[in-house]
Order: sequence, then C-alpha cells, then structure tokens
Amino acid sequence: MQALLETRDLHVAFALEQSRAPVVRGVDFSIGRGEIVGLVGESGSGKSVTCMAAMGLLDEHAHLSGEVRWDGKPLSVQDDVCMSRLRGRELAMIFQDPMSALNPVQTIGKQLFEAIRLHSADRPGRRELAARAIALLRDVGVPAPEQRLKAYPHQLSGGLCQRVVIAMMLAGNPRLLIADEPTTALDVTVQAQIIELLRTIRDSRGMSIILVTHDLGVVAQTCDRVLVMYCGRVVESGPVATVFDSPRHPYTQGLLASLPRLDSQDRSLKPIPGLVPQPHQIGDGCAFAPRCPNAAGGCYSDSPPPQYGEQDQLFSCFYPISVQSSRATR
Amino acid sequence: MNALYIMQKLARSFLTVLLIVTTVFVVLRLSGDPAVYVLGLDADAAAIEAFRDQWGLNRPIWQQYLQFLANAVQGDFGYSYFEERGAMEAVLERLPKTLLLMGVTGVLTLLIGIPAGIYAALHHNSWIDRFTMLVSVAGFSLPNFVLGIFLILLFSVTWQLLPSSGSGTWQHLVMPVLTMTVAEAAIFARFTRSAMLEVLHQPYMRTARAKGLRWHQAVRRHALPNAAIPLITLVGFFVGTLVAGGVVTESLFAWPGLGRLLVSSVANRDLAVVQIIVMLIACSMVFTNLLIDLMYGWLDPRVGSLRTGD
Amino acid sequence: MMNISTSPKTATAPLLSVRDLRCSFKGGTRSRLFGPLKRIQAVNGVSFDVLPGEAFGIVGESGCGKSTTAKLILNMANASAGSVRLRDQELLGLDDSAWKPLRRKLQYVFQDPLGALDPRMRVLDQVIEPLCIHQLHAPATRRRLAAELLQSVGLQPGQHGKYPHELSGGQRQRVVLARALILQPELLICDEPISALDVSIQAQIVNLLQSLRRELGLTLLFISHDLSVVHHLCDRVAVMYLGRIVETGPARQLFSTPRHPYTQALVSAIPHTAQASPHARIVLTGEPPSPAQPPDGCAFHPRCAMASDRCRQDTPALTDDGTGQAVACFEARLDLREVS
Repeated sequence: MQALLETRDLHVAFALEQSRAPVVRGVDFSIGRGEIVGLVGESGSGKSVTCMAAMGLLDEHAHLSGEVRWDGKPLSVQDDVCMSRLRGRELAMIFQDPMSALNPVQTIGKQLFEAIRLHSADRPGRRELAARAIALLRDVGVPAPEQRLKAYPHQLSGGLCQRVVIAMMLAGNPRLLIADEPTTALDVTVQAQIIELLRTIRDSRGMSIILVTHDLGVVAQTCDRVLVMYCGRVVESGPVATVFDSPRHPYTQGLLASLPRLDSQDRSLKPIPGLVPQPHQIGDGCAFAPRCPNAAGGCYSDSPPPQYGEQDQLFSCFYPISVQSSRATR
Repeated sequence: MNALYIMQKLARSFLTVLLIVTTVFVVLRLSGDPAVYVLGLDADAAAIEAFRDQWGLNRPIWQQYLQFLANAVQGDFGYSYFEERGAMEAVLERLPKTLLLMGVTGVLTLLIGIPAGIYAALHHNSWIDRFTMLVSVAGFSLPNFVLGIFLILLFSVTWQLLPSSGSGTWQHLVMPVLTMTVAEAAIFARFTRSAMLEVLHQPYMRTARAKGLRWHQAVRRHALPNAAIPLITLVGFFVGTLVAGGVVTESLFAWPGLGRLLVSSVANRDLAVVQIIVMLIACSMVFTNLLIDLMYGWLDPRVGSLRTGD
Repeated sequence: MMNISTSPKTATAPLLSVRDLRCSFKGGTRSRLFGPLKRIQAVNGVSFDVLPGEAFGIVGESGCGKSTTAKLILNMANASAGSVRLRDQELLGLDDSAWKPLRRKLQYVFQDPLGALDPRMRVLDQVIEPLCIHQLHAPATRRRLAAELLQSVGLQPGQHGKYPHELSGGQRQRVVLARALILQPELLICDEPISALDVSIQAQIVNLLQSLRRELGLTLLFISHDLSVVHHLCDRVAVMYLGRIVETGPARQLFSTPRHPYTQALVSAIPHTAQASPHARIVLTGEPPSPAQPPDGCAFHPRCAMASDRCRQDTPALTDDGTGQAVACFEARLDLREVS
C-alpha cells in the first residue's frame, strides 16, 4: 500500500534568542489511505509540531529539514503558494479549541461559504452556496443546519463548533484530515460524539485521519495504528492492539501503567518518575533514559535505532521489555 | 440594537455634556472676577460694580447658572466681554481653521500610523518592525511643544523655508500638522501593531489557512477586519488628544483656531467664549464615543448580544 | 430521605455535611431590552456527607455545578439557600472574621497551579506564609515544617528556593498541595487538580494524594470530570447533572452497576486502553443543556433513551435503593444492572 503522507527523518527546531530548540528530532511517519493513525505523547513530544510541519503551517522561526512526501511526491512544505493548493482539498486540519478556531465576528455561514468557494471550480451563487453548506453541516450532524448559517460561533456550544470546523474542512473533500486534540476541550459525552463522527467520516469518505492526542483511551477506541512520541522522536509504533497489549518500549509501558482503569481499583498507579526534559536538556542518548527503569550506560550516549517486533511493531530501545513480561503486567 | 437602546445612549450622552458644562461654569465663576480682568485692576469701584450689574455677576451663582441655561436653550450663548461681540460669533469664526488643522492631521495620522502598524506586525521581530517601533517610541515621547519649537528653529530660523506663525497658505499648515501628526501616528502605529499581532496569533487564523487560504488572503479576510475593531476605540481617544494637542500647537504657531482662542479666553476670563468652546469639545467627544459604542455593537456580534440580548 | 440516601450506613458523624445547597445568579441574556435577567440555577438542591478520612468524589461535565458547589463550601460564592456544616458548625452566612479560623480546617487546590502561586515569591516562602497568617509556631519552626512538608510531597531541598516559573506544572501543583497541607486541614477540596498536567505526571499527583490520605488521615473532596481518576481515588462518588446530584453511592458499586442512564452513558464513554470495554458503548445525542434554559421535569430527559411522559413533567428525587446507591430517575429499575 502506498503511503498518502510520509515524513522521512523530519527535524523541526525553533529559533530561540541564542540557540535552537529541537522539537522534532527525526520522525519517520506514514499514513495510508483510509487509515486512522493515532499520534500520542505528552506536551513537548513534538506531535502537534510534526503535523503543523506537514500542513506547512509553521511560521518562519521554525527550521525544517528532512522530507515530507505526499502521494509519493516530495512536498515543499515551506512554500505557501504550493501548500495552499493542497490545504483544504488534499489535507486539512482541525484543532483543540473549537470555539477559538472560528472567527468570532463572522457568521458560521460566511466562514463555510468561504471554504466552499475556495474549493469549487464553478462560481456557485448564494443559493447554491447555502445548499452546499447546509449539506455539509448535515453530514457532520449539526441539528437544524438551516438556522445555524446565520449564527455566530459564540452562540454555539463547543461540540457544535467542532462539528462546524469539521464541516468547513470537508468542503474541499480532502483525502487526509489531521485532528489535533479534537476532543480535549470538550465534555466526556460530547467527546464520544466527535470520535464517533470522525470514524463515520472515515468510513463514508474513505478519508485518512491522523488523530493527535494525549489520551491513550481515545486512541485505543479509534485508531488502527499508533505512534508514541517522546521528546521529538517516535519511540514505538504499530497496530493499536499490539502496542497497547504488549508495549515494548518502557515509555509506552509507563504511560499505560500510569492510567487509572475502571476494571481494577486495587492496582496502584505506577507513575513514570521524573519530568519531561526541556528541548535544550536532551543530549545524544535516548531522551527517556533519565526516567527509564531499564536504562544502562549506552542509553545515555547513543540513540537507539528502531527495530521490529511482532506484527509491524517498531520500537527504539536498547533494552526493550520482552513480549512475555509485557503481556503479564497488562 | 434598537431605537430604545440608542435613545438611552443619547440621553446618557446629553447628561454627560450637561455635567461638563456645569462643572466648567462653576469653576470659572469661582476662580476669578471677569470685571477685574476686563476693566483692569486699577478701575474704580463704581465702574466695576456697574459692569457686574450689567452682566448679572452680582447675583447668586445658581441664578446665574439658570439664566445661562435658559439663554443657551434659546440659542443665546452670551457675550464676549473681550471681543465685544456675541461669543458664538467669535467662536464660529475660528472654527474652520481648527477643523482644517484637525482634518489634515487626522487623515495623515491614519494614513501613516495604521499601515506602519500593520507592516510592523506582519514582519514581527524583523529589523523593520524594530525600527518602526523605535521611531514610534521617540514620536510619542517627544512633547508637542518641544517638537514644535525644534521645527520652528530648523525650518523657519535656520533654513527659512516655512513661516513660523499664522495661517493662509499651505506652507503655514506644514509645521502645525507635522507637530501633531508625529505623536498621533506613533500611537496609532503601536496600537495597530499590537492589535494585529494579537489577531495573527488567534487559532482562527490557523483554521483559515488550514482550509486553504493563502497567508495574505487570511490576513486580508480575517486578520485586518478583526484587528480594526479594537482600533475603533482608539479613534475615540484620538479626538480627545487632537483637541488637547491642538490647544498647544495652535498657541505655538499662532494658528488662529479654537485652541488659541481658548487659551486667551481663559486668561482673560472671557467666560462665555470658554463655555462655548468647552461645550463644543465635550459634544464632539461624547458624540464620537456614542458613535463608537454603536459601531462596536454592530461590528462585534459578541458585544451586541450581551447588551441587547437577541 | 435525603439523609439516608446521601450518607453511608455507618454510625460515624460526617465531617462535612451539605444539605439542600442552592445557588442561583442573574445572568444570561435578556429576552427584552428591559426584561429581567434570567436566574441561572447553578446548584439546585445538592445534599451529601463527607465522612472523616474518606475521599468523596463529585463528577460531571462542564456547567453541571460541581465547581460552584466547591466554591459555595469555601465561601467563595454566595449560596441562596441550604446548609453546609463542618462537624457541628454552620458555614453559610459566616462573616470573614468568623471564617479565618475555619480556613485552617478547610483548604483547597484548584486546577491551575501557576495562577495559584505568587510569581515573585520563592516556593518555600509560599508554604511558610499560611503559618505566618495564622501566627503558628516560631519562625525557625515554620521553616523546618515547610521544608519537611515540601520534601514529603516530593520536592527536593534544591528546589525550595526556586520561583514558580522555574518549576514544571507537576512540581507547582506539589507546592500548592504543600501550602494547603501546612495548616493540617481537616478537609482538602480539590477541584480538577490534575487536569492541567501531563499524563505521566497526573499519576504522580494521584499517588501523592493517596499516600497523603494514608499518612495524614486526610479527608478529601475531589471534583473532576475524569471518571477513571475519581474511581481510582475515591470511596464514594456523586454524579452531577445540571445542578443536581443524579446518582451517588460507593465508587466501585456505582461504576460497575450505574443505574442512572446518564451515569451509564458517562461510564461507557470513558475511553479504555483495553480493547474490550466492560460496558456497551452508549453515545448520547445532544449536549448538556444550558443552566439558563433547563428543560422541564428531569433535566436529562431530552437526551435520555428511556424518558417517559412523567420524566418530561416531574423532577425525580434522589432515592436510595437499599444498597447504598441512590439514584434520581423514575425509570431506573434494578434489572437495568443486568442490561449494563
């Protein structure tokens, strides 16, 4: 299967006063057609920046290197003209806070019309625009879409705003939707609705989705594959069932062990000790080594290369957890 | 936004004007005797008494105040002791000169300040941004009268290019306008820049680009209109600073406008003239702010719905 | 009935006892220009007991009134009716001078640790400050106590002299915890204390709270939208929806056999990392209604699959089913447990 979006050895660093902060440090990533891939990690893991880089939405203070490929062809992500042709009709993106993702002083209708007009070859009239906008809103499950066109974002709830943003991004019928923490700002029951909606969109339109989140539970219920990022690197990836069932990287295992679970109360949480390092604190070795129970001398000086486990599972660790012991602790 | 709301606003504005006029009336009456100023310190007591009697200055202040209001309602704004004619006539004669000065300054300020601010914001942290901000800090920290004197020294005294005082030709206009524009444009540039920067960092700008807008399209359609909203408040202050700056600048360049008239009338205790000028200034400020209030509700739907609840 | 339904069947006197607590404020939008502002019922008759030494959780979505309840207890908002008693003392209606000694007994930790700390004060001094305000101990003792406490919440001595901005989010929340605990409160109220933290750090704070409970016998009122954390940490739980408690009971029992349709939906909506969820997934339609426009009858009926005519007219009362679990629903039957 040919990858739709692919990054090869992607590096992103932000210019600081005197130095550069490396935020993404060599990410290899690919997503195929119709796939939902989860990108998980804590703040500072570089998951959002990776996506922003692929969308060409990073500002001029970001230094990029490596390669981003779209549909097998290299993409010049820092070229606004070239990227604006792709954005919205090939790849689109939704964000964490749906309320502020919409222009507060324009009606929902106006913002939707703008997106529709951008991506239609003909010049649709007002009535045609309204009809298409209503159809889009209906697709994403906005109740009474006719009345919403005249509404302003502050008159809608967070969940409805997120649906409107999704509708706007569907206007150009893109092949890939990047969802950056789409449910973090929403309530639990509304979160479930949005996740359901994303899955429906994937099924009905055959769209690929990258779901960026810190919530492992959301990934487990939504995604086909998962990439776990830590300090700008992918430390483990593979099919969701495999990775969550038998994590091989100590960080993945640590994350899973630190989550409270409904099916067992007796188990005390096993947090990962220590703190997530700042970008300038990361040296040559494995960034997780200072917090890692398995770390030995080599971990501090050399960066572990990725290696294959079972079923396309890929992990970067010198001392991975064995499959047997990993399963036993879950 | 409905008629009732506007009426309410208008009533409030009227009260504000009344309050200002009253305060000025009381302060001026209590701070000196016009008879002494007009007739001179060595005038004899009988003449002073007669002057007071003629203009009702020996009556209790509340009676004078009511009389003043009653006259004003009938369109009689009093008599200028100093110019010895109707006060309104004296003021209206000067008004066009002031409007000319303010108008040219206003247009120039907006034409320089806003584009400079936008440009600086779009090139945030570049040398152009830093340079613009440096110039702007210098611009508004330099007092009006210092800049004015400096200009006179340079253009009138040293190079003898421009007339240092008076009015009539476009050359007369250059230095007063320049003096006022520098500070005002500097403030506008700074304010526009920060309003733009704030808007440029809003998540909806990212959304606009994610749906396929080019950078400059997103700026034009989403950033500029939204940044204009807070800028409108500044226009309200702008009218105030124009008036205040006008007083100093007009005096400095002997520009025969309202500002200069105000200064001389206060010095001469020419009560009626001061009263009218203050009333004009108050009305213009209150009216601008009323306009801004209404525009705000119209431009920003969040404000409108908070106030009138639709 | 309220008493039975909201406290466990034990003889222990409650430490905190909340009865029929109500809070409403004017707000929202006017229907006409001079029309009256609507009264928003943020908290609408909430009753519960917190026993000494237990951890009581309140869960619910945004706007359900859980945070307002905490603020009412802490006298940070004005209740319109009801009673809040700490042991035998009524807290509602006390003036500031009467509150000062009570602040020692009632401490709180809120979501944003950076906002809760003074940016220009070293963390050790921030932990000492409450002791100074309440004039406890000699200065040297204060320093020692504060340093010991900071260390016991996991901050090494090298970090005691730092300013809040030099610490990470998790470390700051530890400082806030230490500052709350230095006065040895009887009750600690935590409102979303870990929501702003990273996943791996959340577990550190949850474990810290648990060990503090064990070691200090701390009583905890824990407010969160995160059901799995509440399930993990709390002995008993109340679920709130639009200003009311819709279900309450022992945490384990409530989460394994939720009886209110809203609780069932909440529990089923928790994303699990284990692929097989213990509950069938229920995705509710619609969103939580605004407290400014509450539906008639049971507030949940517009989203409820089981709603009957009665639900559209009457508001169900919280009723104990005899197992320690109480539910406010006309349609909740015992056989629902088998369904879920």
